[in-house]
Amino acid sequence: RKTTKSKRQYRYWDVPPVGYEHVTPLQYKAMQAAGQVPLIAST
Amino acid sequence: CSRLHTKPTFSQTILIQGLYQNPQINNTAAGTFTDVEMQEHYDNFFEEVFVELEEKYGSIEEMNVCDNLGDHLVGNVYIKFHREEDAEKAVNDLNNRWFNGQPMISELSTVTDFREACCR
Repeated sequence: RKTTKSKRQYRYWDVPPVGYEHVTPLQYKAMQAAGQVPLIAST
Repeated sequence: CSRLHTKPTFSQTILIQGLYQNPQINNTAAGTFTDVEMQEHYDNFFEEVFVELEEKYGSIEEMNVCDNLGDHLVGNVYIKFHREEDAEKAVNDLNNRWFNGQPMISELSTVTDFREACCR
């Protein structure tokens, strides 16, 4: 299985919310908890 | 149920909250989806999640996506790894990854048998 490992293009993985590419997911969740960003961002 | 579940320190199973966004629930685009389109959307989602998790964290015994419309359950994904170490590694790493424009929310889960998975 390892030999067939390909660089596939994912549609969902590692896609940050628009405008928040510079923060980490952990930072973003802290910002959500603090009410600085909405819980569901419009993507 | 109070939903105040005890969270295990070790488990083969992890929970990723609200990962699957059902296009018919969050329907911002006009129009509805046919059953075939829904199945295709779901299959793509399932494959993408399964393949990445297995490649990156370890072999998976079972993966389940909640289709339950309860607010606290909808879109939840439960993944049972063969090894507890893989589950732990996955939870720690996933909590710092994005998925579909959202931060992932992941934790260890007590569920070991999905057919018995019910709060009592």
